Amino acid sequence: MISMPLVYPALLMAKFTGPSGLKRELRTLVRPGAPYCVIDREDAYRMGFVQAVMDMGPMHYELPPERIPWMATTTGMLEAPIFTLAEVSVGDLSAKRVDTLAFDLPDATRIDAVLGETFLSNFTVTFDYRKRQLRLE
Amino acid sequence: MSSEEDVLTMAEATQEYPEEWLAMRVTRRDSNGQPMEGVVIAHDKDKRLIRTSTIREREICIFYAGQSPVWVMI
Repeated sequence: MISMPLVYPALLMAKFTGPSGLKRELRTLVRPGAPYCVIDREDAYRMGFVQAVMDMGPMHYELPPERIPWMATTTGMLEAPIFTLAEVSVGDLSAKRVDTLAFDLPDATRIDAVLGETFLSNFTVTFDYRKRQLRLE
Repeated sequence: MSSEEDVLTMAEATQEYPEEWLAMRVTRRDSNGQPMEGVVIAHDKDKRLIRTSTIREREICIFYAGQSPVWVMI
């Protein structure tokens, strides 16, 4: 179980393992509303997902359309390719074969990744606002 | 680059390399598995260059040493 003070934004260090076995532990936002985990395109590329840097349109991603979802944001629509990480873990909690978007988060946020539902749905996640505690178990 | 002996806490590393991106080999963790101490093997102001300079590392922790600007996600 992970239990830590709940602050805003809810950040922790999560470990992402690519198909090649490369592991990167990154400052990560816990975001239950996000359907997918997210990591930067360069990290995805280093982990063995070559398509992460083929950003000249869906044809160039060489992926089926269902692996390049459109994302609605407050400023418009974006598309990003999905790839499957071998494992994502936080402490002793881990999930295998986690679908993840390769998408560059704004540098100014100083975060490198997002834990979305493709990881969080494997666990009970509690945002206890009264006790100011975040728990994953 | 730092020598292998230079084990720093996360706070010490942040103080040593303010407002830089750090690549750290973690040597100690807390009860939540979060990094507590490690050896800084690279640091750079550029988020991309820190990736390039650690390309041969199989397992590494990368983080920004400093406060994030105040922001909210909507």
